Amino acid sequence: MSKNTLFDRVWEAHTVRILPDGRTQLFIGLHLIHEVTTAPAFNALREEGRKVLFPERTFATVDHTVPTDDRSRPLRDEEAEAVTDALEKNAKDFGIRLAGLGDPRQGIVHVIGPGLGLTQPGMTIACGDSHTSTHGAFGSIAFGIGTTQVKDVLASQCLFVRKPKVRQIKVNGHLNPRVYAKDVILAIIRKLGVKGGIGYAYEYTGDVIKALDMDGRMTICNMTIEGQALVGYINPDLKTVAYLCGRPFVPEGIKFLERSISWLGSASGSDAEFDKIVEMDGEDITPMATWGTNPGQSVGVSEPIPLDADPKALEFMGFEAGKPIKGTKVDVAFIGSCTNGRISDFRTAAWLIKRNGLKVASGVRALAVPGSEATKKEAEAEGLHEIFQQAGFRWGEPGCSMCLAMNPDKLVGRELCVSTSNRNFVGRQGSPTGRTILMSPASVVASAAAGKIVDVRELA
Amino acid sequence: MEKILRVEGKAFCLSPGNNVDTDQIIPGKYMKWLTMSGFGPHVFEDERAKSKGEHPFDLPENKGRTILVVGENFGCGSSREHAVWALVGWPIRAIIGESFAEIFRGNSAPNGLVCVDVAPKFRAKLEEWLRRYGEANVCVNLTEMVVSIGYVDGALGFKYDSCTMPDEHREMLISGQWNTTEALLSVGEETIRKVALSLPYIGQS
Repeated sequence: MSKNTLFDRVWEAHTVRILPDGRTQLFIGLHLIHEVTTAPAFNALREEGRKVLFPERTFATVDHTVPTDDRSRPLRDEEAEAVTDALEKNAKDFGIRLAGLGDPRQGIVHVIGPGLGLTQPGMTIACGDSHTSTHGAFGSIAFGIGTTQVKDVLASQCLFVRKPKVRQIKVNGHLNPRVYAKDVILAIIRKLGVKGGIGYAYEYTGDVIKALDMDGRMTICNMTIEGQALVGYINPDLKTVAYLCGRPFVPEGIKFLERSISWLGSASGSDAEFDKIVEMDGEDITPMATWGTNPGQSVGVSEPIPLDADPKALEFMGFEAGKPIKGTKVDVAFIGSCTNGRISDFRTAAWLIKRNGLKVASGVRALAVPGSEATKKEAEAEGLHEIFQQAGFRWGEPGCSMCLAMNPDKLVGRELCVSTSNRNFVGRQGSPTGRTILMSPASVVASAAAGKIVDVRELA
Repeated sequence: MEKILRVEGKAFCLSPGNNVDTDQIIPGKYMKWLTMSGFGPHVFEDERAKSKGEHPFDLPENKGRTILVVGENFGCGSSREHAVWALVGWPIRAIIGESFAEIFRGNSAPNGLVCVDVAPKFRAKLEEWLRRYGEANVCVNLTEMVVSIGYVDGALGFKYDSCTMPDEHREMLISGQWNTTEALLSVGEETIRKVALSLPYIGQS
């Protein structure tokens, strides 16, 4: 059993009681909600005549269904309008803060939580979205829940959960140039498998993880769920503290100092014990790309597709085992999502465009969508939008966009998309036959410019 | 919810049925509905459209079958409870698999969907058996935690193996007490507030 890890401490601090069957009633410090998975939960509250116990501990936004172009109301998509409208009504009826369409705080729930400083170390965080693991980058215990559990949190600010084991994943050494957090997490999932995390929380550590900025750390924790661990976290350090300083929901002055001490103190102790430790070398990781239909099916972009690759996935993708993925024609390029829709992602991509004078190849549809209004504003202040637009990208309004086919940004037919999102499941991007290649933002711009999948290291 | 002590019926397989994600179970375009019902006809919609009648959910012999046999990590990916609502709406009453993704599993019990784990060897046998004797009855017994396969004439207990599921889910199903909200609140608001106030980010702010 794990001991003295951040996970153990934060879990214990939030324990309301332990049930005879071993489950914990866990207090949830921050509940984030969005328009898609919540309406039936609010309906159930009404039916059962319940109130929201801690309305000030829930924060709502709209992200999954919002269009990234024309956002005038009513939205053109009637169903999207209906869910947006329902969330607005529910937030009002139950006294919950909402960053709705047009609000400068609106954005993807996993981008705005940290961006606004709602997400803080040592918290427990739940949201009706599996990528809630993102917030673990700050040293919080954060996990995705279903709609029934959303109702539980609204009504009681608690959940019944079984404490998982804790596995430490240590990425040692350093990363080579043009290798990013996205490549690291794809390499981790490849190594541990898409079901390797069942029953575990992951603590990411090692020099590679410590050297990442907060945006990169969020990319790592974000995709934890793709390996079936519900929770992934990174111990808070001075980078965490520096990121949070001055954010809207973070206290100021002496209170900030006090809070910082408590944050830093929550990190796993040197005497921490883990249920399991896995080590990897950062130097071994190269720019990655998925070849299949789950995020574990990936290779270094310059490597051939493994000989033992799943034939069903290969058939769907139109690939062959033993053949390179490099050189495959690209139809669509997407930069954005809760995985790679943050300022550092756009800076990296824009820098590469500018440095190499890249233009999106003819016939490629390219889309860059900031994860939040704040990210968009920050990027535009730096002139990044112009770099993307001049290169041939459409610069969109913030939302989940082409990650998940719940808004107008979708693949058509058998299009192949190089995407910075998190899931290459069949049909994920909106076309039952559309194909997704998961990559880092740098790899996506390089491939968009070449019109085919390339190794970003081959750029000057 | 009514008590579920056993699910008995005819079964069919998704083969190999490994890493079946919730985007496949219910495509994203249906996530904009405000209700919990109506998803049943759309279960595996994209896959079924591609299979043109050959998908296990569309084969005439599987019509009316309520038990699904799957592989490992069933229900991975998105946390959407809509995936469970779609399966229940079909209606699927029980899923026998090698393993389930955690969020999917957590969503299943409160909706009365029985998800049990069996050993890979038993699943392979079960598949083989169903291929030969598809009309056989299958029974998932939650009192004894066994899966049994019977003859076509309905005589049960010919072949069986133990199955598992988290205790709390079993408890929910066999007691019919699936609404956890009441149980969470039974500790008392004051107790919950006390824990809240003991937290550095609440108590001292």
